[in-house]
Amino acid sequence: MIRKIIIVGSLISIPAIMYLAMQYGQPPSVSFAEAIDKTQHTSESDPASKVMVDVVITDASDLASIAATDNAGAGFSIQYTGTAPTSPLKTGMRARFVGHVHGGDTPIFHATQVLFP
Amino acid sequence: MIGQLGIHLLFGLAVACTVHYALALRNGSTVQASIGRWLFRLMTGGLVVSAVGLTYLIVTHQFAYTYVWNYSSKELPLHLLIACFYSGQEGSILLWTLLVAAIGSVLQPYARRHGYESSVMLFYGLILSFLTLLLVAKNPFAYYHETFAASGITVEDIPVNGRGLNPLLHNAWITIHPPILFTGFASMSVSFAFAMAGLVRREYHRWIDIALPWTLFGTAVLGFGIMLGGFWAYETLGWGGFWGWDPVENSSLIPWLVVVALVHTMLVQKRTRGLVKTNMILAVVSFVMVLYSTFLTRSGVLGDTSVHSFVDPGKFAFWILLAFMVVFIVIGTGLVLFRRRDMNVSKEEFSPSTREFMLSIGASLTMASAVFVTIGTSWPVIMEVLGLPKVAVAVEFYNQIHQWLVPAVLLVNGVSLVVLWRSTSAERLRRGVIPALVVATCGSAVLFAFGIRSIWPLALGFAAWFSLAVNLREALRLVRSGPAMMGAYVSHTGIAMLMFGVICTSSYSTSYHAVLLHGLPKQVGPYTLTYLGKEQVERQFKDREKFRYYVRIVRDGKRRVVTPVLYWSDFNQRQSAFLEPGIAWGLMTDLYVSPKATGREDVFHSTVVMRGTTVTAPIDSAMRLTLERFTMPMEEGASADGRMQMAGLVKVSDAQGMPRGDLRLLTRITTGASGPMFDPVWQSLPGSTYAVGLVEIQRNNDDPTKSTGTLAFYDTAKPMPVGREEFTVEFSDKPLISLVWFGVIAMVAGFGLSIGRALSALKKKSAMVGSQNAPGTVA
Repeated sequence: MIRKIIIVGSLISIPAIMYLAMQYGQPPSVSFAEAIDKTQHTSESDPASKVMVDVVITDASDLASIAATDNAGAGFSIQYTGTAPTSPLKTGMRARFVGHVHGGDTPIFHATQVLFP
Repeated sequence: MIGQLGIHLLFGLAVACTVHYALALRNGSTVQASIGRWLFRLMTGGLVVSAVGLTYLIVTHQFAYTYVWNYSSKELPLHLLIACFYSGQEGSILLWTLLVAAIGSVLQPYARRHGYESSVMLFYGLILSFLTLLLVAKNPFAYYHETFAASGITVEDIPVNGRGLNPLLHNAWITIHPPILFTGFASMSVSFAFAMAGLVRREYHRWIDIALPWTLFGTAVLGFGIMLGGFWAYETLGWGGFWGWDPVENSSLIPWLVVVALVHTMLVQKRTRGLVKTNMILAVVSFVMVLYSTFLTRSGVLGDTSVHSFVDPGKFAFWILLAFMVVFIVIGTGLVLFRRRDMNVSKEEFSPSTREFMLSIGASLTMASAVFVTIGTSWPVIMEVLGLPKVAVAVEFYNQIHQWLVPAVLLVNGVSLVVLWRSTSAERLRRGVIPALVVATCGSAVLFAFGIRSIWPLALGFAAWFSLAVNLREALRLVRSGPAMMGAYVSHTGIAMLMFGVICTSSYSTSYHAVLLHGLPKQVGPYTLTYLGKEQVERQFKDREKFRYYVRIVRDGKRRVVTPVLYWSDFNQRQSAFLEPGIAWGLMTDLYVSPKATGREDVFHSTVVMRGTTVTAPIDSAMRLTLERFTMPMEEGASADGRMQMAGLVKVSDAQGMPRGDLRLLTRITTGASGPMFDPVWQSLPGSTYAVGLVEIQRNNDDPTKSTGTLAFYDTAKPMPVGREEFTVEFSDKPLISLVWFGVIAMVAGFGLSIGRALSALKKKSAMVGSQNAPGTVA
């Protein structure tokens, strides 16, 4: 009986948990301005929450300072410190960067992951 | 050089010890076992020497060693210097290895006494072999000049001081929490080694009796270590909670949950001889989860998904960690599978109205929690493998799951103590359950009356009351039998208390955001808070100006003073503030003051103006100011003292638009830790006694033409106003949070009683068995 309970419980709960994790483990897709806003609303002692920004790359000659434009048309700089992208970043390419904004006078987007939609 | 060679030698000793115990087991050779024993002692002695050596290097500031340079500095007091020993990966692995060996030194004669020496120490030696191999990869005795040889560093280049310990770790708790947690981790190896020995020897029941005290010890120590971490977070980090479902917290919780399940299924097997395979599997899983959690938090795979920092350990250490885990998964599952037919000793089904059934259900629920927390903690890795954004799941994920699981576990716990082993009459079940249900219903009604309206806290409260009622009744019934019998009930009562603490803190805590002006009392809810001033502390550290802020809290004439701390440090390039809360501890309520920011009161008349727009001067309604534009820093050049400068070009006119003059309002900008700071050059406002200054520029990144400036005014006929110091805090009261801490203490005390009882039962059983397992038996 216990075995049946465990098997049935696992069959129901594990997919449910995976679904729940999908709901809670997805960063919001935002514009650069919204990403700045999220950083500004984070406490000084907490890390800024992670977000995704869809961009068109305008200059990828330096991974430490990638120039890009988001869907709202705002241009900004991305500092990429993640693992090597699965395909080389090129000007005009559409990409989705995952990371957070570092505030200050000239905010930049610190990305730790790049995905290709 | 000696240190590095010593670590290699320790690895060699661990391997040799394992090989000799393997030979002793295969050949039944007492000589091989004796050699294995001495090799183990030698290795343990070597580890003690290494640990003492590393501590000596740290305390005497030998910065020629990379580890010493990386984690310590001359300014640290002795207790923190000692804590530097395990503040980095290398040192913490050495501590873990040392504690495994130290526990092994007690385990070895114990296992020998029960005739399990070779079979247990074989697996124990293998664990130590991997740990010492990890030490070879992450050697704490590496030289600075070797580590940075590629940067041109030579033997002569010895740093004059170290980088220092992370300021967040400058706390007394670092001297206690990690050693206890690692003792818990280390003791997880024992149940595994006994289970493997049981499989090798085809003794599927006896190992349970022998391993139970160790399993209880590991559960108690790891549980205590976890909650000490929670207490540390509460007392030091300032976010007001004690559990944040962070990967590092989860990595110790997962093995603990598994071992809690194991303790209960071991009890079932002890009584019924059932769950044989389950116990073998859980013993393997509890140890493997220690390794998996270690892999998650030390391999760098979680990257920046936690508030804790995960240092990439390098490829060699990464592969050793992976191999460590894989090897023990293969050994554990391999042996279980190999013996699976042999272990089918009991096919008895448990009736639902028995204790064994309820304990099995309780263990399953606990395992479910472990599995779900593992999924949540591993989520960034799963996502990365799937090519999706690598993000940790939100805290709500864990909370949502556990608002179902925890009440269920508490209810099952209560029922499991009402029912009997083997069979329970319906009458007994009724007599046991109904009074507890009445208590739970009344208790929940009290919670409802005190304002708890949400379903989940009420459900948790109901389950906690139910569990508490049953456990207290059983504990009181057993008082006459002596405290040793009460272990389980004391532990469960502790868990119920902990849950009440969680309910009260989460439901009744009130939080307020308050800006306190120096010396000015401020009403915050029912309390009056006054910021009394600040005092610089720890002046010996040159990387920070650390201030302790004094805040007085008054309610109903009762005064308390708390001292939160807020500062910036070069340690993290002043990217974020370091803060420590001020807590007024109380049995019924803690008053918690978390610092947020410091600043100065705005005492000027001020107005915000955007480029191309006109505003009325706040000091004269007949005066208009139009901001033409901001000049760029390159136009203005640096100020005399080297600061960056910008200016706002402002036209001054009267109400009719007649010009009164043009102003170039310069402001000098310093990039501070909390953003740019502006120091205006005050200028006379034409036609008035006022001066005007550009005190802030707010840049609009989307559209720089919409950037704004703040203009401040003061009357030059009077002294320039000076604003009072501001201290911004998050103030909260935490009713009955003390129940959390007392609950943990009760839980650990209960485990202590249970260990005593298990050891005493084992002694009696061994005496009855007689010479069958006398010392000297090799297997």
